Amino acid sequence: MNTIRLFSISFFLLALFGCEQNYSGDVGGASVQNNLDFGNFNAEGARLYGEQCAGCHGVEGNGTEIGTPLVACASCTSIAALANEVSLTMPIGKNAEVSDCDGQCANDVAEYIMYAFNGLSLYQATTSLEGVSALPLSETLRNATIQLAGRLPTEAETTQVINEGEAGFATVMNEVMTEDEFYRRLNEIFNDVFLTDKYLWVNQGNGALNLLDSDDYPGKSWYNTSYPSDVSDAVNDNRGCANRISNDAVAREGLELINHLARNNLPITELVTADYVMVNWYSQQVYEAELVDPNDTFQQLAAENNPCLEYSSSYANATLRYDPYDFKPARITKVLEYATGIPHAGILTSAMFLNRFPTTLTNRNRHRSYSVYDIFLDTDILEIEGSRPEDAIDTMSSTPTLENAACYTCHTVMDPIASAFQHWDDRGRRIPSNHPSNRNPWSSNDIEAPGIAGRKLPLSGGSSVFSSMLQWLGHEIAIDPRYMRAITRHLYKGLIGQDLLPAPGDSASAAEIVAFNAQRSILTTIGQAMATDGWNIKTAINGLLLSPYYRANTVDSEKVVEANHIGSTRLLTPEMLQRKLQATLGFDWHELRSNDQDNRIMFGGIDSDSVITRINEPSGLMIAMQELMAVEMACRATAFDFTKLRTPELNERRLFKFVSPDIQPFDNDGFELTSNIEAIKKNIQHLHSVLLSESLPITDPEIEATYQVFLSSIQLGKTMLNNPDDYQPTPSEYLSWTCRGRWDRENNDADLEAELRIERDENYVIRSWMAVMTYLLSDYRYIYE
Amino acid sequence: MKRRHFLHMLAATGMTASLPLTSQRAFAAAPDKFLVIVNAGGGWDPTSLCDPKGNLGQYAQERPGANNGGSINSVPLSLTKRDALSGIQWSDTPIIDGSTESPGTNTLRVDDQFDSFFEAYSNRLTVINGIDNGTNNHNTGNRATWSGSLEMGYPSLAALFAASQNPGLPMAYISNGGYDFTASLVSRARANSAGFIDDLADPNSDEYLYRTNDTSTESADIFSQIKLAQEQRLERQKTNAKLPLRREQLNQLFTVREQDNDLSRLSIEKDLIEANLPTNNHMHNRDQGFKRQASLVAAAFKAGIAASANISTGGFDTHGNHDSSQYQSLGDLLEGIIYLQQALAEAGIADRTTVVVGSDFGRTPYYNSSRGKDHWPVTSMMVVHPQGSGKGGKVFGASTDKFRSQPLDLSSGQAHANGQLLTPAHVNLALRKELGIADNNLSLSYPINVDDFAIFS
Repeated sequence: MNTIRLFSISFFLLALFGCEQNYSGDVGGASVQNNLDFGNFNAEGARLYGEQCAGCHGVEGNGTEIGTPLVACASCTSIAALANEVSLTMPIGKNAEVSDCDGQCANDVAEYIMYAFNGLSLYQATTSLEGVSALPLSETLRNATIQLAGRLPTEAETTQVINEGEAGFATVMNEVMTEDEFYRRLNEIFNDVFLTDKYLWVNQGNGALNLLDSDDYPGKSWYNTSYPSDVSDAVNDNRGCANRISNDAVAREGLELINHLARNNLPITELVTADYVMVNWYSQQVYEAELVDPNDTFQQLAAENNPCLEYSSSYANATLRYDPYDFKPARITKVLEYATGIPHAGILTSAMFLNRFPTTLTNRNRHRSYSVYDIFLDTDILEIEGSRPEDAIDTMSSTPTLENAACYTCHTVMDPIASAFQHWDDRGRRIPSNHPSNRNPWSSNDIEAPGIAGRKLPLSGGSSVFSSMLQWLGHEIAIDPRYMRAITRHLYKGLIGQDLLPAPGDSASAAEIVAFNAQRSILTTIGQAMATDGWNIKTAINGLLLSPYYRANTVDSEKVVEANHIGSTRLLTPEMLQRKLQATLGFDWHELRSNDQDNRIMFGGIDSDSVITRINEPSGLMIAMQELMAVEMACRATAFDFTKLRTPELNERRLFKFVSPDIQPFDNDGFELTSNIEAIKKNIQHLHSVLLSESLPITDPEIEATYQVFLSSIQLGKTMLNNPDDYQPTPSEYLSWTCRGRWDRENNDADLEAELRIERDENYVIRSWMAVMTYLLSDYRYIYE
Repeated sequence: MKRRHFLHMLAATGMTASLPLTSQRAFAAAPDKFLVIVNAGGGWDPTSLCDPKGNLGQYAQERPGANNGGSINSVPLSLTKRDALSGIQWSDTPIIDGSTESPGTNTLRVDDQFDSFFEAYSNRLTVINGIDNGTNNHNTGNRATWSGSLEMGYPSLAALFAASQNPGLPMAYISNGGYDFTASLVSRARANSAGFIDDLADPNSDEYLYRTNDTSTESADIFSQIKLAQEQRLERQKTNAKLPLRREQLNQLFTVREQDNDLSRLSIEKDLIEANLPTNNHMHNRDQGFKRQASLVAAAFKAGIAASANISTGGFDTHGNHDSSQYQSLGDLLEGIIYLQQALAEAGIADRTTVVVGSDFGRTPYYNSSRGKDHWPVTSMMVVHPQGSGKGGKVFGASTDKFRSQPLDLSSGQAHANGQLLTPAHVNLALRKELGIADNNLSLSYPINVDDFAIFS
């Protein structure tokens, strides 16, 4: 029953957008009746499809501006199911009635749609595309662990994947997806969707707390009471720190819900249905919220771990030790100014979501409705709406959205969901629309009743959900097949770095149609696997990581004509670059740390506020940043790595595992030292592997090319050191100050013990390795992943 | 900080340019003309700016409940707010604060901002009224205004212009928001501060990788060796790439890297501009963000590293308290444009820079119950032509008395029963022609198939 209803949604949308466009039989290009090769398809179904469906859904089933694609459509699970949907909901249009295609007609059309547009072969293409070869699983693992966990795979993990194939890959990745860094990445992926990081302290100070009404949450500034000013340094530091953590916990409550679901293998549908909000110890005070499990307690960190130092070194005296990353489900049940408690519906009832997608008195939640369609139902109402003719301006109707056909076609879709938000004001505050104070002057006279796609929200009788409309809406969204596609789409964008292919238009080539169909089909399969596995988001992530779009290595252009979208290599975002630096060097670039938003934006990042789309192609400015990064990180990483222990028993180095600063290619008389050269090349081979994910034989020309960088640098360096008076500035045996191995770069630049320090470079070896590092860190394979 | 220009490695390599995105990269020199798009985000109200209608109760019959008696504006047309030569009429300022007898500081400030702008620039200004944007949706409207197409996929005018000038400039197209879709013709650079750019001008400015200075008897530059090796490797990677996606990325990287990166001039030029024209000591010191963008854009143009820019500002989506919010936002916008013009003049490039000002769409010709104005598809645009170009000083097009669009004569822009509705497509086509990019291959790839309105002739 649900399926029927949900399928009707997509068709219903079509009706609303397409009712002006009744099919005429002439769809442009090849006429259905005359030219289309029906092959072995149901001929009567094809004829009926051409008559009644193709005008909106396209001759090839790829959809049009006014009709959704039928390739891998939400209810294309069986002929019977589809026939049922067609019978109940189709056709629609100016001169059409839903009853025009029942019984045999519906069966014939459904059979045609299933065979013509949803052939079995499409569904079989889950992990491979003909003509596309995949990277070895071990390399895929490396890419995945860097991207999702900020680290390289361990040898054991790589071995497991090599030995056990895809099953081993999934096992390893499931373990990787328990690590903290994965949840930071998950936050990034979904913040690109929800953009609620706008309210973080780093962006807006008290941006999140300011959105909460102090009459609803009089304790929202609890830290001022608990830690009054001027008492002591510890109290002052606690106050400032608790303020910031409280703000960020509230700002992140929606993203933390996603983390919670993934961490506990809970269904991602709870994103819109959870009857709780995520709080940490700090935001629990803000909301005065009750933990869902009253026996649960928040984790405290060890005494030496001061969580406040993440914000500022000036909070050194803070004594707070509650883990800011320990979020738990809680409910707001307290009496608010105009209501009692929050009927939680996942992120839908979060003030952060409601403010990030705001409304106004006259907008009447329509922007929120648009956002719900876009984010959760994979439907962009505005793009379908497209142009609005001048004659649609209606100054005569009292309620154009209900009376004027040019308006209500869209508003009939948009307004029911908008109405479902009626108990939430423009600031995301819960004020029931029937509250006697009239603080929420909602009128139902000029807007559709709450509901979704033709299904009315129960407003009376025992089943009335008047006071908890968004909970009802959330459950409706969660059982909509488009929800699966929406979640898969967000993950695809996050992991692959590209938008999904747009539905082919009238002028699309055959290759573009094939590419679209294949992608849609593969994504549907991945989404269905997720749904089958209890809506576990990790299942979809594994599916995407194993898909040809993530793993593509080569493309046979004769078999895959449209291939520009295949492959997941992309210019690293600031966050991804930092993660990669952390994974490969052990520390990140100070210029891109999270408190330097301007630099991140110039590097193509977003601020979740005015800059919300990432840049995918480098500008000259970004290239300059990459080069600066390469130089500065090579400077900081090289001598530092040499300070680490390297013995036959224990090798702690990340980079220079096979060489020491005294290994030179020549002796003092200029004779080659073969074993040294071999060691240097072996280390270059290692650097190519660690930094660039290149498995090259020692004889590879690229190893030789990198060796030449080393060689030319050391030759020039030695010449300078031997003739210092010929150069300005005078060449020194000392490294530049910043490049010296004096500080533990992996431990907040703490001073190294004096005996460990490396400050001199008499043979110019360290600086030659710096040159090699600069060369590799600015390589395409490093700055793209 | 000691600065050097980078060595021009490519000449030494003898490598030829690869053209990943466009075949237009035959240009090597800095652009000789520039374009700034100023976007009033949220949908401005032309009747509060350059297409005022006065308080004549125009909608008293149709909208009996509307605030201000159904008038389009809350203030009458003023004879003093009109440039006699050009016929450009601008809105009088409603009382935002204070009283009619004693207007408050906000009211006086807005009034001065309006007068200052129109009095100074009317002779270079083409006001285009009565544009029918065909939508009152923010995304669609913004796209239509700045690309000429309601459909997705068309590059913004500024992107098209930058790509036509020189897509390989380090910051060819500076965007600080607004519609900035590039269609991969050119990369966008975001730049709202110049400080960090100092550091970027020379990645090895701290000389971690040794190099000599000019007084040395011997030359040594390890960084230049690395750059040479980088380029050679990139060339090999391009040749060996097996995925079309990677080939495209490598080509992009190659093209952008091969450009002479002369970022150091940016901060020098910016300092020069702000020395004589400090952002925080200009007119009413409003909207520092806009002015900082403006000075950086002017400096980037002067430095020869950028060809076009989006400057975006908000505060125009005035669904409530329209008069107070909209007029103040418009005043600040005009003050920002004055600063931009002065910065361009300071940089010596005001005679080569076109500034186009527009928004998502217009606002209703009547006030809603919150004394606000909602979305309305009829709008205006303004073009400030280069100094000394002899262009401007005119109004083209007209909305009706009730602020609706109407058929216009293609030549005169006056209402004409057999004319056509003026749309963003027409305006963009005219702008392409005015900027001299209408007939190049890039523009022809994104055709605008409408008749010519003689907007700028």
